[in-house]
Amino acid sequence: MIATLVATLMLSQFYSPISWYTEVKAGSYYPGIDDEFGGSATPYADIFGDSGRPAYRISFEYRLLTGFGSLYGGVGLGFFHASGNALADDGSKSEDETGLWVMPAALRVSYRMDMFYTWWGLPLVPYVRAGLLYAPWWITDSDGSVADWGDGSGSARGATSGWEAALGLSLLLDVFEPESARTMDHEWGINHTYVFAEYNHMVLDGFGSDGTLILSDDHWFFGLAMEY
Amino acid sequence: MKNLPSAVFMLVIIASLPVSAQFRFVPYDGVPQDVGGSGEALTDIDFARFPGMARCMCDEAGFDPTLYLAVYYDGQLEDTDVYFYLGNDCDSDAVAIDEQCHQLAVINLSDFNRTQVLEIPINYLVDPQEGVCSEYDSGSSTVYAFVGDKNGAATATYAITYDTKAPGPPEEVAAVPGEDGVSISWSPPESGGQEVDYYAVLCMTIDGSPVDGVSDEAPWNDTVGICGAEITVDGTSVTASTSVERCPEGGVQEGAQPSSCHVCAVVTGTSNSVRISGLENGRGYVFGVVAVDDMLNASVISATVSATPEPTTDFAEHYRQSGGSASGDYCFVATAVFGDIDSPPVKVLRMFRDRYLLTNGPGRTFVAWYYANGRSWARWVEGNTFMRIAAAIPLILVTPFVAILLVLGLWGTALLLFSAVYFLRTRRISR
Repeated sequence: MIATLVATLMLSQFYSPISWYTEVKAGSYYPGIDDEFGGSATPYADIFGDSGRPAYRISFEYRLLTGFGSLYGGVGLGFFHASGNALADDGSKSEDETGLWVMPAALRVSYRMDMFYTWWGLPLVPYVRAGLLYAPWWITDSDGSVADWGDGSGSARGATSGWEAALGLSLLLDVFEPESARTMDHEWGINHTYVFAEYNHMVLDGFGSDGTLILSDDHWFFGLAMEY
Repeated sequence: MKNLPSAVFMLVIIASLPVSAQFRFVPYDGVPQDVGGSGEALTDIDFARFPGMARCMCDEAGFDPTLYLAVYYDGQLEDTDVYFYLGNDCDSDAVAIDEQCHQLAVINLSDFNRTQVLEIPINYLVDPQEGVCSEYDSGSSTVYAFVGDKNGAATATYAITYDTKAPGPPEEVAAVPGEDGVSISWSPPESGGQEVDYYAVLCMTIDGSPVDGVSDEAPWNDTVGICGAEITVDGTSVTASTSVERCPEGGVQEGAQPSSCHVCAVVTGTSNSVRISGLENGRGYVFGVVAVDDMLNASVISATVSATPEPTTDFAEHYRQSGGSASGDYCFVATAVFGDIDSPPVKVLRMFRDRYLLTNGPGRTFVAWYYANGRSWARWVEGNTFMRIAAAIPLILVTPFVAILLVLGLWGTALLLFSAVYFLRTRRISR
């Protein structure tokens, strides 16, 4: 314990300047499409089931300010795909596949409370994040092409705008392998690596406008991050 | 020929380097151009597949498939005969060369001041003694060059391997109907499954007609492509018709030769399923699967299955039927400006979207962005006369240009613009 504390204190004194933060994360996402129907219908659940599916994000952020913690601004891009069986005439599942694809783009700022590590060598970094989202989506039919709505109103594709807020906690991995961390910083300029867990509140509903495919969800993300 | 199986003969040839550097062999698909023909030198893969393009059946049916081997000699020109033989172990003392090998030509060395060509009937590749192809097989034959004494040691050799053996038909073929299509699955053939390069799924309507708009070219060397005529194999007899009938009667039948007019999908040899789309709901179809090896030997048709496509409800339809209101595929702003989704300017812009925007990534991104925001703009424009007029001006200016683009295409429009600019510049200069 004492050795770890000493190691972290030593580490906190020697690292190269930090400019960028990059993270990759995955979580279980369940788009709130059925929220539009207020319980009267569940088209998403009927086709894709009622459990979440993997969603992935990658983000790049630039350190804007540092002092009492660090302020980052950056962009992110995500990917989500759900596939399920189309419904036969009698409502049962057919063998045809249909899919929903969502690729949310984010413009966001993060505040990372990394001063605890600098001050006391505590390898935990709480953070908050907020951002604007813009999520192109499209629905595919059984042959993989973009589906029609079926009522003559064209192709089932579009984009939904919204916002997100997140609260997370990062664990600094450097303390477990101080020597490797120092080598990574020295040779590649990677100052810190983290694993993190983040609770994400995503409101993708076109800021409340009608005629929008609602893709909102609250979910956990888990991922790896590095500062360099 | 009595034992000739009903499948297609294919041959594979793979060249080896000649023993002697004095002789050099180059395969051609016809008489080479430098000796007055129009033949083209074969690439490695074409060379490997060439014998299949002139299979034994063609020969038996009265065709004359021949591999042309150009022979170059860079040694001293002398008045000495060179004997070219085709066979196996022709330079062995134990082999009676004239009985067990096929003489291709006798050429005097002094004649090698120009390219010489050996004509190799494909059937002699398979059977150097009799020239009779009686069964599917794989193996090799060698071209030997004996300088001076045909019973002596060979001066040069050129090995050619062939493969006429097709894989067995795929097994456990199953069909599951869907909307406007059917999913077909199968398992690899028991024999030759490891060699499968492609699977071709054949389909026809239940009444035996090819499926319009679905059928494709055969991925194997079919008899029409090779021989210029359909070869039908009926029991033990092989007949050839000079009339090119690409889609013989019988259609997709178990154990029959595949026909290119029934090819509905081609997938790699590692696949075991495919969905055939573009079919008609409520109409019955018959499906069979063919395995094709990398030398384009095609198996006979597998056991056939039938299925009838039926409508299904995909997520977009189910969402809409449930009362979902997410925006569809409209030209919101143009519709709001011109008041009708079917007004000519809206139609023109919609055609532009379909032809020029939805056919590429950036265009699709723009369309997705527009659909996410266009509806709210349209509402704004619709309720404001001034904004409607303001929005109409650029749309009216743009729409004729878009119409020209649709009519003339990209290059035609560019040419028109260039001509217009040139005309205006010329006119200005002349003033």
